[in-house]
Amino acid sequence: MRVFLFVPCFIDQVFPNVAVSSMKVLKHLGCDVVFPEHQTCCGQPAFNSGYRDEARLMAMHEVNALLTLTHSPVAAAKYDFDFKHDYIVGPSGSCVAMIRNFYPEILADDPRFEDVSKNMAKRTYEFSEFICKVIGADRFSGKLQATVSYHDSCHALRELGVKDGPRKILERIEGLRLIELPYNEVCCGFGGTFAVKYPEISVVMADEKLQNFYQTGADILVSADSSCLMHLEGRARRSGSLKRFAHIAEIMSESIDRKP
Amino acid sequence: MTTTEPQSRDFKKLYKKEVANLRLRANLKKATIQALDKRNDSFAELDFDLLRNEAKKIKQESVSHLNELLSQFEDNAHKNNCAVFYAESPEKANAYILDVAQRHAVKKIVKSKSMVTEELRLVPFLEKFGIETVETDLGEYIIQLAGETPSHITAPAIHKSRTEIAQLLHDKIGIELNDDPTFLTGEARKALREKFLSAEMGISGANFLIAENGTAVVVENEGNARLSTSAVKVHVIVTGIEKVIPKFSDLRIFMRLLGRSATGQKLTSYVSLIRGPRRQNEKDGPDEVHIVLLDNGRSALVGTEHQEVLHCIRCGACLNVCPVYRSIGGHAYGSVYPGPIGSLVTPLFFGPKNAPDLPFASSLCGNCTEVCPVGIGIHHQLLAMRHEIKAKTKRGVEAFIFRTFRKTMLRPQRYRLFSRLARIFSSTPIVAKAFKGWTHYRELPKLPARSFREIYKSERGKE
Amino acid sequence: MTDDREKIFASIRRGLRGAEKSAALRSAASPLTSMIQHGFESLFIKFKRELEILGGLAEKVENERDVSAFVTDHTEPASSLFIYDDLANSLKSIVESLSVNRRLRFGSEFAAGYDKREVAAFDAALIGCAACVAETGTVLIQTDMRLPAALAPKLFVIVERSRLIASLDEVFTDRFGNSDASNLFLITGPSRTADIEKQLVKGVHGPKEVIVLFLNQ
Repeated sequence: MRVFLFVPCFIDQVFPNVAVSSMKVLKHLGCDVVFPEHQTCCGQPAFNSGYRDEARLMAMHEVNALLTLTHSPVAAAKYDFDFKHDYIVGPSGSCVAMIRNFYPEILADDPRFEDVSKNMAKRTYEFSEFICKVIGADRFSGKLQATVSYHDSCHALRELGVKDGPRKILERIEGLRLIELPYNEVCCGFGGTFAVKYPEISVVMADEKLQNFYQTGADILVSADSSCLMHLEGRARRSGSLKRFAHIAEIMSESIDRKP
Repeated sequence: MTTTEPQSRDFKKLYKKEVANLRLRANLKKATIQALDKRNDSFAELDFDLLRNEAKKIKQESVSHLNELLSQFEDNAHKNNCAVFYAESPEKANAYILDVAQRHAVKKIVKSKSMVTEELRLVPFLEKFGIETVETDLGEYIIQLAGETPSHITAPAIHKSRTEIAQLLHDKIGIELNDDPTFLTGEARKALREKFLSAEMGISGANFLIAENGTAVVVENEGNARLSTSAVKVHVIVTGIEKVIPKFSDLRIFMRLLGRSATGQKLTSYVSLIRGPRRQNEKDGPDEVHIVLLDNGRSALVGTEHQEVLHCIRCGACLNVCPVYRSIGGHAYGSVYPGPIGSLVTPLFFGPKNAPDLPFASSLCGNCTEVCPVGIGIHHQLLAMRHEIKAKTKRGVEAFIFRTFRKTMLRPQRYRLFSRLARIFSSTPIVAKAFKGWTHYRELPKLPARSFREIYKSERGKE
Repeated sequence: MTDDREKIFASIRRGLRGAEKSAALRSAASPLTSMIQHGFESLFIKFKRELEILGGLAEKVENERDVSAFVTDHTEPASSLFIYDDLANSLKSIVESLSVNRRLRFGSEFAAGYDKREVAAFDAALIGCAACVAETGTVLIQTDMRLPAALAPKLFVIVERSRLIASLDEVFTDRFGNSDASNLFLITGPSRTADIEKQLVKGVHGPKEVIVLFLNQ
């Protein structure tokens, strides 16, 4: 099973360990993982901020880049991606939602991309979702002494329907205790540029989420979206909290190390 | 400029004031969480998705046959001896209602809750002409006494605590200072009872208009709408043209959805099905019923991408569930329609120039869409509005940033250069200043020494 | 004053022209979504549960004597009761026994255009109803005098058992949709509000108590 790893730009730049961990876990589960090196940004920041044309251009680039492994200039005729057997997997619910739900929509009026974007959408998965739906959560096991809470990111939850999967995965880790957050389906307030356009509202939402997290007594807040975690961790650090915020791929990777 | 225009242009100023109000946030949190818990319980015995799909189908059918259904409603309303008046603008609607009142030499009006009358700013308009117009819904009455506007579609005084309300009623109607809601409600009942007994005219909204039999449906809990429509000589119904639905049997769907979505009730305490003035053999009820159908930007949405906004039944569930609304309250939106649906309706009804920020005041979490009983893709609609607004603004700092961002992302070499520069400058004050929307409230993450692609390359080099 | 009908219709037509020619309006009624379907006893249990959750009261009574006993028990001596005509005419013995120590007023005493202050002071109103709905604990009333039932703090609804129907599906049919009356009211429990801090308060403008008696006739 060959996986084209989709590494969203901010994960590449700010949270490379999430991508390293994703790659390691997928390989551990028997996948042949490749990283298409021309990929940059899926265009979601522009798309959600209203700049549809800019997002469209980035989407076109990203489609070509994600489907190609060669170093030659990308060309639609030379996709390396096998639409029957390969998968695109990304450790970010919101960026995966961009490819899966919005690429077919914004590229629908371009004959070069219309079918490709639809076919690509069908083969694209969020990291935890891929493990649950394609590989099977029971193929995974790990060991880690930790008490965690799981944060549902809105895009993973509502755009992709990812809800039970990450929890099933966390249950497969020996020694790990999962305590549910109260009001776990409420947004943490990140929302992309919303976080900087309306920071006062954004942090009120973050503080609510953090209060709920602290209330659980868990040590680590785990999520499938590093963007929410970056926002929550940034807010928590400002008030001196030492709690850990970790992507589910990182937790899985660590749990493999402890259970070879 | 009309007096009915929203204040939403000042959103950025308004929300900053509201978000700092801790008491407001506490009031809102308590009230909305309770409403949501009850909503969720009330749907336990029903298939929400099935009902929602039916509701959406009926609303789609209604909008795509709007002229036909309005004509049919109008015919049946005429047969029922109602007068029907179409108003393109708030001014026109107000003028007609004033005319009706003046023709009957009306001095006192009792009014039940209606968002469309808020849209018209009808009460201050009528009062200007010396006609006492009293809001009779308890929440609206409180708001009217306070000289404010409602901050929620179904719970107008949601932002006020009992202490504030007790003080207000003490000051305005001279009752004893006591913050027990039962006491306060009882005192309001007494004051309003007198209004019902002396009023000559009643004004209500309508939640639905049934085309096939000309019925106007008014949904409420207190009994004030029943009185405002019954204890008067003249009854004026004011509502939007989009409220018409084809069949009486369609209420099977909407009645089960509306109360549950709004307050977690299987059915509201009262549903008044009004089919015109007092009949020959009836001893009370109004002698005249007027139905005013307002357009104010609605017809222009037919056939557009935003058509489904016309499906809204004003239940307020999207407000209760919205974490932004819960942080800033309804007044911050500067519009009679607050919350997620208000962020759509306000620019659509009053023009995007009057509410340029509202579509952006959302984290796009999609919780609104999840609870909408008529299946409006609220957060996707907000996104579409953002696209429309930005398609027209090619200039400005933000447009420049995104253009540069795109140019960087389209060239992997530039992206790598950007990555290296970011690492060099990341811990300098320039960055902190550039991202002050972030850094003023949160720590920036520390950039690692190498990006993933650099790590990947060097690992591959080793293989 | 001329209205904007034609302008609005033209605007809608412009909007719809772009859309594909839409199908004809459906002729079928909306689907039935409730599955409740039982005999009186189980419907009564459901009705009672729904109404009593809301703070109302529902009882089975055997005969007219039970009704007057119940009303006597649930009203103060010398209190004033308004009795709707249809009830007064069909349940004469109730009227007789209640008239002993209650002040009774009847619909027949009032003519069209009566002074509304005259009906504002009753302690209770007794009314019949068109139907009761088990699904929601709702009563349907259609009257020639709207105010007494809307103003009295206590409302007694007296109804034959055969009028208890299962669900709202049966309410929104031609049976009730095509009547000639100017009004049809669905009353579900006491008048209520939660406008002050979401705390429930009963008896705002309408009845604080709603009592439904199912007569075995």
